[in-house]
Amino acid sequence: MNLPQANLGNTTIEKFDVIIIGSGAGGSSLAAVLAKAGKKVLILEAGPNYLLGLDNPDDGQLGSVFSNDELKLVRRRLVMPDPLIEPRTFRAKPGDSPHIEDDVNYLPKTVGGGAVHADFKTPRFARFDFQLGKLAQEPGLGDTNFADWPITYDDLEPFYDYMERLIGVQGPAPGFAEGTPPGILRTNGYPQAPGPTMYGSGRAFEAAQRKGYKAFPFPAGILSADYQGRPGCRNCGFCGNYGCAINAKSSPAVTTLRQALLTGNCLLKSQTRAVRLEFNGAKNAITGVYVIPPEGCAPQNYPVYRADAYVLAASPIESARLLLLSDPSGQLGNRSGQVGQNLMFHYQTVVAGVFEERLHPYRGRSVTHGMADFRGDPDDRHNRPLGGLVEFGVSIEPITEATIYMERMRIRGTELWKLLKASPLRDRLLTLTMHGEDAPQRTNCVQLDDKVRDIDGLPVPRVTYGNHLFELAAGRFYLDKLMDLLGESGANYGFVAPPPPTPNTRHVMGTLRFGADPTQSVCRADGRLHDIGNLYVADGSLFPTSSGCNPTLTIMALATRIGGQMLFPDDPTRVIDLSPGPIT
Amino acid sequence: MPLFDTNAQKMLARLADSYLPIRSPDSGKIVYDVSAYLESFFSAFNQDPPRIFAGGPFSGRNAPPGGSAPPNDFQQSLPLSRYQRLAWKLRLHGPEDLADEPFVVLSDELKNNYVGLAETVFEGLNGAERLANDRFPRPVDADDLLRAAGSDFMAVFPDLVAEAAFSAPEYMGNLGTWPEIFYPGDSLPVGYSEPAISQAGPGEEPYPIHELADILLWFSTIVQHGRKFK
Repeated sequence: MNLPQANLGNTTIEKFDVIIIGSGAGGSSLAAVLAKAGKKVLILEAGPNYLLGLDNPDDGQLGSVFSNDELKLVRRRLVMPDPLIEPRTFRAKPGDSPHIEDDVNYLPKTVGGGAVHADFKTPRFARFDFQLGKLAQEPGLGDTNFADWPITYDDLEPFYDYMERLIGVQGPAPGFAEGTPPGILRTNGYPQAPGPTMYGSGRAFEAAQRKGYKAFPFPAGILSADYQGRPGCRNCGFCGNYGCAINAKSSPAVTTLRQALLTGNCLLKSQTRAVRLEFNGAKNAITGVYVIPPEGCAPQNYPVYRADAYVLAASPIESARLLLLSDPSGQLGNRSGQVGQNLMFHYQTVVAGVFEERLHPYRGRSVTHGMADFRGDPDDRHNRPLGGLVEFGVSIEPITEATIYMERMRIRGTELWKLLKASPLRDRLLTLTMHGEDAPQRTNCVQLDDKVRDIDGLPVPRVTYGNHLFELAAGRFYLDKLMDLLGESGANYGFVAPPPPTPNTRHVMGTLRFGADPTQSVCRADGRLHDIGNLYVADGSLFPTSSGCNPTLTIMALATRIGGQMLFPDDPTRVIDLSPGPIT
Repeated sequence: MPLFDTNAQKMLARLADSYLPIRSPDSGKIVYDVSAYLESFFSAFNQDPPRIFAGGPFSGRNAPPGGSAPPNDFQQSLPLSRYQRLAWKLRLHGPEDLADEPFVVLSDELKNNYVGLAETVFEGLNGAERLANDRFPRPVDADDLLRAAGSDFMAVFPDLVAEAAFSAPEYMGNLGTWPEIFYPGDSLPVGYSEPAISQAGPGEEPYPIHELADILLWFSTIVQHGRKFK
């Protein structure tokens, strides 16, 4: 078995134009744009690499050491930070005492970032999602921090289109689910047809149609047929929470990152953790980034890398943390006082149904269908509250199932075998998950913990997060409708999945929001910090609002646009191929 | 030299059996071995790379029609990053195992109070064995043994039982549990065909759910908003 390399791309580059911190959806997409334009790019990725041949132009050499292995990916969390040595602290509101929690919405720490392990559903945001600032004026929402995006759907649309063609998104045919909030679905046909309908998802899809909802095959960055040198999905069943063993999942690693690496203008250093930005006396320019190399070193010997420009793309919690670590006074890039604030997670409302028949959810892509009927409409008082997209389906594996019976239901002995054989919570389970819009609040934030340190001696992120009535009310409102849909789907039993003690939606947004007003936002519309001339952000940190749609495609499209603006401020679309058809 | 002697293996099997019987309820065969799983897990760092994450992408269990199965990559292990090495050494064997690791900053809590998983299991095992010896030759109830093993042991052991039983066989615990629960395990490089994915499962239901209706009804109603639709 060949093992992945730590350094990828052109290892001979000595002077860099841009350093990007993080190789996920945003960092990789930005790197592709810049490297293709001839810029010398260094990507610093804190996590290891599990993909083979990323910098080899021969598609046949593209490989992976991911596998259909629950212990490795889910239980022992191959691609996740380990909370034992990299903990986060949590509190529900300011003034509470923070405590270490096992999982405060960690995102994978690996080459390719979060989308490597997700089942990579890729709806666009709705057209109205870019202008929700007006909600802050509504009764009961005065303490929220809803704001308009500094760009419109039309600004982002060409980049959505480009990214969908580049990664080979599968999705519904034109005209499907007419009436879905405009913008969410591509209207001119997805590059790939939907893959096979999972049986459970299909039951919910048919039930939704009977109830008059406009359900659809969920757009996903998973190939339904061979595309651009990568194979179509084999529907192995190990998708959500698993890296793809055959690279049918179009994660940024095998799409945009690989593009960047193949230019010869990009070097990726994995297992290289950025720990501090160096800045000038006026705090308006970054002069270097200090890192911990793969085998560690003493703090006084941390290597420093330098470039003309720097990009934070390490995920909202870690990007904000790095800014705060760099200047413990909290002033760096923080004229607005909002660095680390407006942290958003989708508020998930989850109902689970148990069926008499087996649904074999271990075959397929975890989720194949969904709907946007519960997204609501901010301009229609009769179509409220604002919830989010609903996914039909889930798959869990036997170790997880057994622990639920043993630990939550206290079942042991022969009865445990009976449950495992009948498998109500695995083989007969269908869940409906609504990703409700999460109201931005300044009090929901990332700060540095003043007591807890990680294994490198650095202050850990302290997450303060509590839900607003905005999303709680939406969750309650749609809960009964979700339960009704479960019943219509044919479930025998239904229950509400209890919310986790700390959010673990993996949809993490906000903390370095962009906007037009430097007193109310951290970054400009082009992703650059208002206060720092050579520091950009290119991940979900920028989002002023969270929408009710899975965020990854928007992160990739936005990062691509930011790359375009760095190169061609007057016409960022010059960096993308606007002609129809597949991107080569 | 094995970590668990014969007596320890028997005790581990007995304790595991009280959670999930080690024998198939149908065939009577032993279908998982918790001590073999723990032996491999706790001695992970005796080999290089450590046996924490099995390799990939394929197990060799699935041959495409007319083709041959790929090699079993699961038998190999992935190299660990520095952070993974530190975390797993700490988790398995406690802060003492990080003594030789440079550039490590441990909190006082981890330094002074954290107990590795192996020690937790060995301590629990010792407690259970002490009780069994004290009462010998009288039989001891499994719940009494678990209580003697202690709350720290009981907090970690069910997870280890589930992992031993249902992880991939290459992790040494699973001797044949997947067929017992009608679960095929890993499926690549073959995967599933469209009919297998999209259509109802063919054939006779191997284990009807109605026998468990009471348990499920109970579960669905103790959680918020539980409903019985049929």
